[in-house]
Amino acid sequence: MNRRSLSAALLLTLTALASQANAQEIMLSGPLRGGEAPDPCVRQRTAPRAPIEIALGIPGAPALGALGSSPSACRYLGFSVGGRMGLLIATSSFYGAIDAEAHLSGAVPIGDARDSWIELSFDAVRYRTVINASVVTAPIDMGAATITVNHIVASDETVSVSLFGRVLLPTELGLRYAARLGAEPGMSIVWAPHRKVSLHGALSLPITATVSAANTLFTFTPRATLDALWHPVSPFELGAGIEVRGGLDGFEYFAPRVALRAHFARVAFIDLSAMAPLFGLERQLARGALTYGMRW
Amino acid sequence: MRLVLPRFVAHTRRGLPTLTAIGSISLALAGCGPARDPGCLGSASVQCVPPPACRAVRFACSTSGAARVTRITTRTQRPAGLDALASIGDWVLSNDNVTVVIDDVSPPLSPNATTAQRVAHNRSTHTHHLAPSGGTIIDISPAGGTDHLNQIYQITGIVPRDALHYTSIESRQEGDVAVVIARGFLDVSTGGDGRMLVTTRYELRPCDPGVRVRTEMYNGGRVAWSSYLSDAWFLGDRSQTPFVQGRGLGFRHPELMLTNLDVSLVRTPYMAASSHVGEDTSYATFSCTEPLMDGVVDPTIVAMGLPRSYVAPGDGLVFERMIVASRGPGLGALEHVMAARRQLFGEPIASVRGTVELPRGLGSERVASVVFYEPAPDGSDSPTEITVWAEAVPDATGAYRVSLPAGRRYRRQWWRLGRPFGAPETFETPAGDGATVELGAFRPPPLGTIRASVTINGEGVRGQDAELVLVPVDPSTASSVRGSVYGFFDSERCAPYLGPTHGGSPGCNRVLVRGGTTVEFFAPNGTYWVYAHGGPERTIARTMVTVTEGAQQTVSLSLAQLRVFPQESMSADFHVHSGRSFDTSFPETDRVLSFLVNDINLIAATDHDVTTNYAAALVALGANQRVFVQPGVEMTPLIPSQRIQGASLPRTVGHFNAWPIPFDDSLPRNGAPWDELVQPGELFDLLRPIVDRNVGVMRERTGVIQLNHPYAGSKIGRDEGYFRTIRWNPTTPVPREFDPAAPPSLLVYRPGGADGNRNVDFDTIEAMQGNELLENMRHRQGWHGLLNAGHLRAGTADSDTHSLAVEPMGFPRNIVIGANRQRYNFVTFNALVREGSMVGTNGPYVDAAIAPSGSFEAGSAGPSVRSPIAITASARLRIAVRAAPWIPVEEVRIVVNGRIARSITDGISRPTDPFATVGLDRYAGEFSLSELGVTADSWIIVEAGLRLPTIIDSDNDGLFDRADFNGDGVANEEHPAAPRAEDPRFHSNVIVPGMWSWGFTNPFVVDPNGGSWEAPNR
Repeated sequence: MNRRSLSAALLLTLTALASQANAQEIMLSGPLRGGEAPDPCVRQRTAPRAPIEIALGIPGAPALGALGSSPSACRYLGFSVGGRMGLLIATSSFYGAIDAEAHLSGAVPIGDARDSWIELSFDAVRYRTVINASVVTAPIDMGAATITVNHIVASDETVSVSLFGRVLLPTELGLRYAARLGAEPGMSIVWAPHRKVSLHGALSLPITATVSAANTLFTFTPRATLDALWHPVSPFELGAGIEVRGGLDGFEYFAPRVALRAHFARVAFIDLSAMAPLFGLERQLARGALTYGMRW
Repeated sequence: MRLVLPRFVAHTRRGLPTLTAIGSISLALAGCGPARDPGCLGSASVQCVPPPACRAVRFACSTSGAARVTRITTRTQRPAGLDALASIGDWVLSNDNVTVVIDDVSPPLSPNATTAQRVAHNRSTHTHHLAPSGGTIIDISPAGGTDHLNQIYQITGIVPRDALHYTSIESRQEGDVAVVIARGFLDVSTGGDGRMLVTTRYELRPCDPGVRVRTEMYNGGRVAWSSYLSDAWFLGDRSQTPFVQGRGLGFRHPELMLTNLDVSLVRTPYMAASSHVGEDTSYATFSCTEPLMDGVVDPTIVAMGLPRSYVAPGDGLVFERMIVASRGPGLGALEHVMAARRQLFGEPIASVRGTVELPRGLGSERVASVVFYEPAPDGSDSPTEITVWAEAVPDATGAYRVSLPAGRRYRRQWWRLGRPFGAPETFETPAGDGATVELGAFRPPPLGTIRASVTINGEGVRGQDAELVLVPVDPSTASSVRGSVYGFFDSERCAPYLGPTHGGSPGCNRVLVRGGTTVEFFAPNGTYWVYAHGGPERTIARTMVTVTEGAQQTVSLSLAQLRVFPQESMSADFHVHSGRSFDTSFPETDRVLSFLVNDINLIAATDHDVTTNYAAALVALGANQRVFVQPGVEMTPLIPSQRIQGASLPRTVGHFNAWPIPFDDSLPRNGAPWDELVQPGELFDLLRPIVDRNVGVMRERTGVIQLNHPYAGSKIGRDEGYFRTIRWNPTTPVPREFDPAAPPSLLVYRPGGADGNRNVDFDTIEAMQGNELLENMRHRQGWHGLLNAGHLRAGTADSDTHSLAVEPMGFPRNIVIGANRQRYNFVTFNALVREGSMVGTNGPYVDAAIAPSGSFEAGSAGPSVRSPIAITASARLRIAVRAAPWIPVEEVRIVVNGRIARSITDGISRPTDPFATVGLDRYAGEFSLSELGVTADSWIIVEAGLRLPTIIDSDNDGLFDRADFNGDGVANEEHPAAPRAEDPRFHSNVIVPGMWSWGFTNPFVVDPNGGSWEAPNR
């Protein structure tokens, strides 16, 4: 199967997912929108609550689908498209790197209990440039994809707790002699003490393996995030949070993160988010993302 | 990151086959799986053997001997050739066609090593030139031929940390295939990532004309990498002529700009390089991984490799190529390339043959060559549009043969004496593989020749060797007889062009004449002045000849010995290069003959990073009793590693000479220490135990360490002058203590620790180098600044000669006063040098002395930096200036503390006949030191020569950079124009192009007040 056919297959998958989402919407719109009972995930006239969604993949591969992101603890049906970008400048090392991805994702509830959902996240087009002194490369190719399965394990009127398991699929085309696989088990929690405020936390254990003939390069970067989102005035929502991450090499980073979200048409949103790793081994200066999506 | 989590490791090891299978399946599904064997990519295990390189390529031969891998055990196993570097312990791949030497990988030096251990390590380490470690190719010699290769090492980028640093090396004999494998990582010593694993397999098969190389680079690091995995060919400049196939390329190439690689890169199927002196060898390389290579080309360095590639962590690159060699002049190695590419890429090839009627004898192989190219698409011969494919030099019978792609239309262009000759002829190769095209015989009109002899007469004549210099009588005809090696090494001096500028004699426009012999050489048609000279202590002579096709002209010239320098003195040049240096191919025999021609009595043999003793050439020429050689080295750091405040890039620390260094060709670099990654003080820590000797029971300073050309610029990012490296403004004082915020204080820094040398602890400084006036004025400023700062160092004047014509031997030189040829002793001699008992000159001799009491009868003192001269208020300075009649002297200058205290232009005699034997005494005078303003502790230097033009510092960096050479009242020139015939510089400028006659004494350090001597600018 060549690159073109693989791309076509993935596109078909996305289309099918979208179709499934439409069907699910019809089934789910009543109960989720009804608002008969308090729900930490639901806020009137907006999409379901979600944490700051900016992600940093692993050292050397800052964008790997949704790997390294904190999923929502709220099930939802939806999709999003967006762009992500990261910047690394190390002048004293004569090194710089920029990555930018056109990112697609979609989620659909699964099972009859309505407490599980599956999410596909995919860097459909990836641009990366690395400046090694005056040796510059800038490939454009297809990036990584992840599938995340989430399941709510506990919830009440203000709190929802979910476990998730994420798999990194070896769809990257930029590797010559290797393939990258990965997994990320974790847990997410949302606490909505007030209708305008929610707190989101997550713990996860991303692990990747880049497999080549004679070596496998592993990364294991346990991470935790805590975000506070505030909905001061419609349609805006502001978010601030932190991410702390460790790894096999040592402390990776402490990263403040922020988000500005605008909700409209009840289910649509535009999200602008950013993070800046500090203090650790990670050399990325900043990452940002702009996302448009719809969630029910 | 590598696997470090034990439990996880155990788990994943069990699961590794599964992971690998998943990965492989994924890659296969994705359609982007590795098309080639990944081999040991990512493995650091010596158990993993990389697969053979270029498996699709097979060479046939009539012999059946196996390829062998051995190690050098005796000095006699070093391949022939001045560029050969092999020493005991290095690895050798050889078959019946070729010998390839890979330098050994030496163990690292312990951080806690003592100075003695450090010296021993740096002398024994097998690291050469630009590479950070052994494991690189240092010699390739075709069977029966000579090595002309400096080094081929591997890089992944352009900065030092991108170089491959090998930490282990092993050999294997795989049947009749010989293999050497080097393993390591990127150079951590310069900031490279040690997790970037690299493995290179060198392999030789029985019939191979060169070595197969496979390099694997694995990114085990944390960041993605932009990699330009390639072979870096350190041609060194002036040593080999690079060639790259391609439209608008051939012997042309884009300028190498390290900071903007895009403009420098070429895409080419192959690269070649050929020597142009002695037993010639050509080399070529082609990729077995890709049809085209990405390359940058420069006469100093060529890189050829994979296209620039993004390498994610966990991924890697594999580069397979061959490096082939062929004996003889021209690009014969391309024949191997064409044969291999036919197998690799199915390119059909035609064989093209022909003959040329050569002139009789006289090194005919260098006289004629032929270049084959496809014309531009519009049918023109525009150099930027034609596609050059090959070059051939006819053999001794006049026959030549090249392989060219089939089914194309070509032109062939003959070259003769460095210029295209005749009109290009068009021919075609038929389609289909294996055709032969006969181009028939070419009968060019015969060249004209000159037969010349020179005699030297007069009292005290020490030899009959001389040099001829040809110049067109009508300068306007120079462009029609100027030549070059296909545009490389072009110099306006090379008119008429007699041979490669940096090759032996005849070279450029010069010919060496061995005493008692007649020399015969080709010359292009024209009317020339033929000058003969024998250095600044002999007359010059000239005659006019007209060279016509097929005719022979006879020239006989006579010179006279003069007495310019003192009887009790020796002429010495402390900065001399031969073909052992990476940046010239000048043969040793011609080099020694140039010593004799210029009547040099002693040289410090200072080749770049290798020790030389000229022993064989001295014996061959019977010159042992006429020239003393102190083997030495020019320490030439090539790996930028020093972070200097205010500099955006790491720097090298410039060049330093050191002598004597025991010549030992069983050691790497013939005994010279490895000089990278250190500051000057650390270099001196390494050199002192080598150049200094035990005298009696004490270790005394018996050698000399010299700072060379202190304000020389940089070349391809490598600084050549230390003062420029640290950006020292010589008008500013040097702090007494090191201050990290003040770069000038680096001079007093002890980088090797409290017991080590300071960076200023050299013995002499090159105050005059070569013949560029402004450059020398800057060096002079540096010396004067150093004296003003109280660091009293002797100033020297050296030619830094690399060839016959570009930097003529012995111009300038040092007249070491008090040294005696009959009683020569290197310890005494070097003591005089360190003391500054010298006059530096490119012609005028300045005889100066100070009478401390005012009475020369009561006693006088010569120049010396050893100890101040206590003087009275009556102290007087006596000056006498002598020079050969062809050396112009217009001005005598008395310099006090760096300022010209007195400029004397009256009373200087100017001989009317520059070819005469009389008129040597130019000036004599006496001065009271008090009238020169010497009332406090001072230093005094006396200079004589051409009048200095107005010289300015236009950018206020403390250094002169512009002069008013043309006398228009505006100082805006960097070089003087070529003098006209009536100019007093005319004849000296023929002998030494660019020469601005100038002699200087070393300092008289005077103390009129008693007590300790205080520096003027401390």
